[in-house]
Amino acid sequence: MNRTLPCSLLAWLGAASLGLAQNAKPATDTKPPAKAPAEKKPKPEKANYPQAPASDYYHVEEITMPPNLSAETGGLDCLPDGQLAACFHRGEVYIYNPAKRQWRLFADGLHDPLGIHAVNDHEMIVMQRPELTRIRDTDGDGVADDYETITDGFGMSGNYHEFAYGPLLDKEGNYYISLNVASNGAGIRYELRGEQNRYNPINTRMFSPVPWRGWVMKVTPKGELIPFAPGFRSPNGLGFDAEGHLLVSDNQGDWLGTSPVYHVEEGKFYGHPASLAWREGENRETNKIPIPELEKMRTRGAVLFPEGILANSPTQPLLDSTHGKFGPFSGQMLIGDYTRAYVMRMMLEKVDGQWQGAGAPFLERTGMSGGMNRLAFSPDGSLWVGHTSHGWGGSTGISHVTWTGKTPLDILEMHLTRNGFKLVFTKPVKEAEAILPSTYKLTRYRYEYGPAYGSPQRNLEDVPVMSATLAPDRKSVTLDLGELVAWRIYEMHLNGLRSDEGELPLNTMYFYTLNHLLENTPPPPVSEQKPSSTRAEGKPSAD
Amino acid sequence: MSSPARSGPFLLALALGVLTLSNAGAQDAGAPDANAAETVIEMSTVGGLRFDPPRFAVPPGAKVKVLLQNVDDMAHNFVLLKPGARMEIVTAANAMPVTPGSDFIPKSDKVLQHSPLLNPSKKATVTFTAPTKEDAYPYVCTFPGHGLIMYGVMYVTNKPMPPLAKDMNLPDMVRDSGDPRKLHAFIPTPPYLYRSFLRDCGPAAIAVTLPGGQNYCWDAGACRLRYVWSGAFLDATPHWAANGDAFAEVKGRIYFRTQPGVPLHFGSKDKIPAVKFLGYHLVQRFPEFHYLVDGIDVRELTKPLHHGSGIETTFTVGKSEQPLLYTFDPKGGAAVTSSAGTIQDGVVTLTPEQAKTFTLTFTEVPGREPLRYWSMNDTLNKKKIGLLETGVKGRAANFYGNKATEYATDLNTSQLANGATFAAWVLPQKAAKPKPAAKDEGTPAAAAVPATPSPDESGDQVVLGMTSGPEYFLLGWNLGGTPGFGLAASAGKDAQPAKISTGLLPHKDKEWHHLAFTYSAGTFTLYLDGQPAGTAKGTLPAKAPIFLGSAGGSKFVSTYMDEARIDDRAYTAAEIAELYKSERPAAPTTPAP
Repeated sequence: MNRTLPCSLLAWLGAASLGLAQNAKPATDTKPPAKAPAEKKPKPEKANYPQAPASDYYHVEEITMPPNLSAETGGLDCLPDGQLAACFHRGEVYIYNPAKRQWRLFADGLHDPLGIHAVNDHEMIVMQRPELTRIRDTDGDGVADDYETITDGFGMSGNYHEFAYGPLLDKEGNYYISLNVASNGAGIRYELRGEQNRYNPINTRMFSPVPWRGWVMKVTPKGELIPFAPGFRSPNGLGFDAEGHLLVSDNQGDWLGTSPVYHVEEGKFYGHPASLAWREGENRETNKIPIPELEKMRTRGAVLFPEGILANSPTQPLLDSTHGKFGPFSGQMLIGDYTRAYVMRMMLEKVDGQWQGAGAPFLERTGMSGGMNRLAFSPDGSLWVGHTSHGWGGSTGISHVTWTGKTPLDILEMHLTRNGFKLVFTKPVKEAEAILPSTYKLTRYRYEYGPAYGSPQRNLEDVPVMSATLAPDRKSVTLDLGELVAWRIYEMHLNGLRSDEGELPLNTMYFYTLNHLLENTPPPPVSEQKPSSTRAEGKPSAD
Repeated sequence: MSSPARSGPFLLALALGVLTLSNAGAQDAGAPDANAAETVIEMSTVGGLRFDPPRFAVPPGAKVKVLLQNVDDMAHNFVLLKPGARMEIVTAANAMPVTPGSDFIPKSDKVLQHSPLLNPSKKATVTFTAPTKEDAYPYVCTFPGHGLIMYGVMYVTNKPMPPLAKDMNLPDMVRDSGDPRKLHAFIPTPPYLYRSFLRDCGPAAIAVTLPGGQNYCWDAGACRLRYVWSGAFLDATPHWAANGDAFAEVKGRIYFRTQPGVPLHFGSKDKIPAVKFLGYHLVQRFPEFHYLVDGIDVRELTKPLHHGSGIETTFTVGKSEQPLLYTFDPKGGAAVTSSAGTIQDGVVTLTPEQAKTFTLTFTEVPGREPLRYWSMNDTLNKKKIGLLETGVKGRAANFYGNKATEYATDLNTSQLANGATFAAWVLPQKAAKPKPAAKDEGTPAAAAVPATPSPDESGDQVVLGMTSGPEYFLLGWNLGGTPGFGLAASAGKDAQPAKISTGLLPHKDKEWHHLAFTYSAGTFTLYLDGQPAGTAKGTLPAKAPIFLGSAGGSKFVSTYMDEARIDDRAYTAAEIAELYKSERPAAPTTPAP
């Protein structure tokens, strides 16, 4: 007879179905985030304008999973021969042979593995809750027999929200991992692993009771664990861009007005104060650090994903390294979303010394379900998408996405200009719509930084388009917006643009995070939020 | 694993139908025998301490022939007993000396039939006439250490047997194997492990199951064994479900818990060693843990004992100049022996040469650990809390007096057939007024809520509750409107309820109190703060699920609770007093605000 939770508790667990990092979903949110009254409701233009069907350009096949496997995908990685290594929520590691459509169990017993790096078909590096582990088959029977702890030097309080992500391997053989903070929706264990935060650990909604929770960490090839950068909340995704810059996603929640992707550099602070508890020289209780000081210290997201519009919980950023085998976006970053049934992409550029750029949906309405947790490219240029639910919606299983070879119409690049944007398309567009300002619907807004859970849109304004100038080759349009305001997200919808062949765009909405102007960027707006009290937001409640 | 073809209905068909084997020489000469057909059971003793088939059914008075075959690599026997006699006979057999030629059959009228002790591959036949009284007759292997999990049941009946997964006459390992829920795309076979969240361990816990129903919890943060249990392994599903805010729950019976602290010491046992976990290697699928103690390499490989209930752990230790000490509690749930070195007062001492490789044997000492124990150091219920409250020892759980904090143990009164003990520390809290009528609570036990609440205006406060139809047992305070700590039990709506009440009103002193009861042979004894506080005649409800913090859907208690335990025998007054004394805090403790 199995010990089961009483039905009421199961119902509670079911009801608390928020994003991987506590993102509110309207229907099932048991505790609405603290919201100041919104200044203006978004305009109805947010509805998608007509788009081309994704199936013209990308085919999706749902892979048959081993029966009875709970296919909540925690990690995917491809081997050079095209086999796919995958790890799943109940601790299994499998290798999939796509040619034979066969699954082979490689390892089991792991604790919530949320990332895998396949060295070869008999050695895998897996990030599980308690440690980064090297798993090897040393006796050649096809099944792992050696589980070596590369590092377990970070703390665990037993709080359920302390997930661990990675590993991301750099060219020198270092691994990057990231550590979720704990949630005040639950307590900490009587016995901890690691030194306990000297202050009452629950001093913010998400808190860092033991070392390195909320940090991105670097693990050297020798297994030395080095603190890399603090300021994270639920950094469920790490990736390198084409130049080798480290990109890490985080999730809307306390201190995060909306979900970001950060360009992460060593020693910089990325906004969530709980992790500062472990920074050398920081002796203060972290929620007593004045907000202006935190604002000055923090590095903002390079790309922000407007909550409820673009994405609620971005997941793994992955470079399209296929050199054109997956369509026209090679060199750009793809990124999944937990809550939406699409994979997005990011168009990044360096402006006035800072990385920023646009996010946009990409693989949308392909028939894939949501919960796009992990991505991996095959050497043949096809994309594997691993789905998960993990108690927060989404779905399960693995999808295989291939490009048909037909180039979709889309914005290839979005560049900031002195007074607007230059939009570069994937193919020539028809002149008639392209030169009409009414084809381009823009608004701008910003999100506030502070202890509140998420932020409403602030300073929401329509952005009139003065003119749209089509280049002679009809592959780009320059929009004159009159004036540009820094520190805003510019949201743009395309209405009616067509390619020469008459195709509609694959996607019609784009979100450019305009932190910096080309030059003379004014200082960022000051947060109007108040510091949180010690018992943040009163009674603890569901996440 | 048993095949369905060997279960009851098939055998009944055999008995009543096609196959007839005469019992040579037993026929009466003259009158025809109405029951000439004989039921033949092919019974094997298989690896993992199991009988195959795990159970069977015969009609009352049927002629039965059990063809016993030992296909395991250990010695086993087959002993058929009177209903309810398994624990008594197994306990008696465990105490018998291990001498050659002994079949381990205790002298008792509760033993109905038995085979001799069979070595591996040997066979025997047991022929008998089934009793006429319809009941569940256990059969068991009485080889010392086996009977706790190696048993089955012969139903004498004309009715169908209960579903296998719910048959409480079977070991939980066997019920488990009937669980149709598939957890993986493969069926894991022991030895295997789960890394998960386990109670009474650090957050980096590893649960390992071995062949033969031995299981242990190993702490990868502290690099040491935490506890060992026999029987079914682990329900990992609560932790897998949703976001992971729940424990994987031990299913069998924990019989041995280690003391706090790393047991290995180089040189002196007073210095706290520094440990570092390095991982594990599977040796024929058994995990061998690898870690450093004060920088010295240690490998630790645990397997089940060949004979009896327990484990043996082989240590391989790197070079050290100093002797190695291994500390353990000599009064703990396992008797410890070592293949090398000397043992005294709970310390194994090995020279550096001896320490290179040695094996410790942990043999279960039944009864040292209760049937179930709750330290309450980590949340038992899903009510959102920040840090748990300070308790009598470690932390205490806070029962808020509502359904959310009710805790359904997976225990059942059928496990308490030979007696029962429950004890816990409680710090009663102010409770809400009860709801006016019992109409939202279905059980007749709920009807015991009086129209007029007790002096402190709370309804029944139930710390331990069991309800089955009209039968109930409640331990707590303000029961049935009677103020004070007490217990109440009823065998049915027409039966006179048993009731014991103390004069002590909770809340008056805001102190922790030790509340306990024992039950044996129709008598309840209540204990408060280690002292007897009254007796009453009565019975526990039959086949009732057991709840902490409620009667099972009603009568939710408002209290802090700590150090709770339930056992399947009645403790003596001296044992209760000793328990109270050993747990009593030195100074009164109140939870942090």
